[in-house]
Amino acid sequence: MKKLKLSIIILLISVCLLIFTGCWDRKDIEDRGYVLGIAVDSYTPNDSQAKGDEEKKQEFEETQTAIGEPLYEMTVQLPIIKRSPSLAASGAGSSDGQPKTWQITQTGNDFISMEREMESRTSLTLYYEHLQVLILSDKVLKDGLNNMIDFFLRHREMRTSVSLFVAEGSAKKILDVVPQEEDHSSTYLFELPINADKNARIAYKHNLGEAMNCLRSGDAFILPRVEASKDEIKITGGALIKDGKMAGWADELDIEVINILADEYKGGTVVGRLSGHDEGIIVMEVTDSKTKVTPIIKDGELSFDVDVKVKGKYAEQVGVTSGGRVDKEYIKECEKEFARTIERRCRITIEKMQKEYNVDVFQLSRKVRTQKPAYWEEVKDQWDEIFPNLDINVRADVTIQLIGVMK
Amino acid sequence: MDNEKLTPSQIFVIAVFSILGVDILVVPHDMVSLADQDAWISLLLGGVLLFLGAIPFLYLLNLYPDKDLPQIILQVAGKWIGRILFLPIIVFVIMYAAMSTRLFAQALKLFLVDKTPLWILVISLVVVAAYMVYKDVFTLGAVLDILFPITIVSLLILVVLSLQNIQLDRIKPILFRNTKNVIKAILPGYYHFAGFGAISYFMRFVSDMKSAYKSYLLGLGVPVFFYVITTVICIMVFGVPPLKVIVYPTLNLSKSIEFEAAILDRLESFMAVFWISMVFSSLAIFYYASVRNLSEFFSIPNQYRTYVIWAHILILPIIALIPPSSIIVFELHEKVKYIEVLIGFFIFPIITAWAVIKKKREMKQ
Repeated sequence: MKKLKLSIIILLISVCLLIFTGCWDRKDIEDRGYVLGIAVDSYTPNDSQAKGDEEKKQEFEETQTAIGEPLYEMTVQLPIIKRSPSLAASGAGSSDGQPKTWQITQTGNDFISMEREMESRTSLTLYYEHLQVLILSDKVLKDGLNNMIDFFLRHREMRTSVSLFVAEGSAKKILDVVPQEEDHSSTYLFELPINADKNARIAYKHNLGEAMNCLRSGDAFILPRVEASKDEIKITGGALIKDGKMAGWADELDIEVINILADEYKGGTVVGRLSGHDEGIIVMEVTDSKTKVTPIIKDGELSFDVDVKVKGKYAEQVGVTSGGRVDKEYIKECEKEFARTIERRCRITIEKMQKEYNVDVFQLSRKVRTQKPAYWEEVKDQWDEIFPNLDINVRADVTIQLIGVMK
Repeated sequence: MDNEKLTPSQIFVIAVFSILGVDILVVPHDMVSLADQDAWISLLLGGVLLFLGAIPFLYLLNLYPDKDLPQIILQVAGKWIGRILFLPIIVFVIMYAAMSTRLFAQALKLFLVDKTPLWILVISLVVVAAYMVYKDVFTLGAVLDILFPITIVSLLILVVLSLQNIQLDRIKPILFRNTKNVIKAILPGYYHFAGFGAISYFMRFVSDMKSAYKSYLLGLGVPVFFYVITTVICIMVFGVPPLKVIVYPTLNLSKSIEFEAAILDRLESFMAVFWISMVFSSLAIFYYASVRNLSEFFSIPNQYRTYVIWAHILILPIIALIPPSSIIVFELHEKVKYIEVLIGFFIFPIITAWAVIKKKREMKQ
């Protein structure tokens, strides 16, 4: 009896050792291909002029589609680990002049098949947990973000913190940039919006999670637009997305206003011109800002009050010599001028969004929905007609707290 | 062994874990689908309903302080009617244990271990729970005592860290032309608090009844608090329309937390690991309850209790693995909770009333 018990225990232990040790999902770190960035373009047929190696590469990029024609072109960026600077420094290999990343492009009409097709070209397993940027071309956006975004939302490895960008023309080109400071263009691009607290012309909200929330709620939103040269990327303006489709471009000044109205005005500069100083301009650096948008219903007519409270420093004067005149009255005058500038800027952009594009990028509909639900029930189907004719009154209030080290 | 007793703090923990379980992963989605941004109100009212059910139930337990639920039912309602009334409870307990294991294993597979087969996840949870039940209630109480702080702290961390992502206006308008849905959703909200009766299997091991009752009611408050607060935060982070499509909002919530320093990246893997202990605890409680149920139902003497435990190692994974797809699991998980209503609103009151009448008669004689 004792022997039987012992043998049962030994059997149990060995079974447990076999089953419960190790890991089913084990994957060596060097076998993973860490996708840092993805660019999505719409499909364009190949030019037949490519010769030799180029031609072969183009052939590789085509995916045989089972149903339908190819629609998209996905490019993923993988870092070439053995050429990474940390390894190069330890003398494992010199990598001067050789690219540090590998861009794989594949065409097709669904992303999972494209991804799987790529696996036939790389010895690594593509891994998206470290994905940082997703760049979409404007053409893809015009076709509709809703159509293609599902793969990126449903995939378990994708994070909602992935940054979204829009490129005019080719999105692939952005990934081809060889940056000067960072190692990979994706990390470079991901780090760029960090300066949003210094420069209000960078769109503040641009990650996958936010985009999904806006798409599902039916709100319009903005995605930052990027442009690239050989070794540089710049965030310049943004793409207006309405009902999941791109409705137009916003320029950098528009972005500033959009940030103000969204109460995400974190920093930046305001420029003004004092009367009596025809040539000179004065500049304020914004340190703190608070915006309150209140919907008002009067006699069945909807209007909005926008109160902007800005605090900042008197930062610079160009072509103006105060000559020690920076006193109480002067600052008062400046404050008024800065407030006027902000109001004017807001008016221009609001008008542009209302009349030219008819995109409620300020998400005013949300304000009505949450604060005036009864009114919203009546007008929710006609919002597109109501929004362009809305009365939006912007009142700015500027306080200059510091004047720097000069008087 | 006979001298060992469960402390009031262990009763508190058992009360918490008999309700707090895998549901925390799906509560925001389920409730928002029914009552939009006011879901948390329904959930809160569901919590009130929970207390309204729990207090008479305590009264029933108080009449038979040295017996657990199956014994009480069989004694009060007799051999045959008792067994009929008892049947739904057996089905509920076993289905609840199996479905929550399956549901959690699915979430684990989805978020953490992609290639590990489901059966391995389910069986390993069940086997460990079986060992704990084999070691009897006092071990169970002690282990749960240890696991409790881990679970609560991980949930609190999630709540606090999510505060950076919230947008307050998403919860508005409050109760605007939505009262009907809110009232309709109270009962489904109550389903999520299923399992308050599990305490009846442990009360007989308590020395100090009075403080045990107090800590039981206090313990019920913890899951109500966390379910409501998680739902509120999910609404404020995601908004209503996205929540209607996100299957495991709580896991997504931990996924959406980000910091400039990359230390707390991949927070959801930590969370999932901590929640294993949570689901494991609730599984262990229901495992124990189910073993007691079946032993009493088939009048199995105590020396064969071990075999009932072994049998569950087979029964639970089989039930858990029968549903072929996750959609069906969600459906079953919902349906199991209808049995809870049957139990909470019919069987428990009937038994309680019967017991009171019986006691009074005995008093007269």
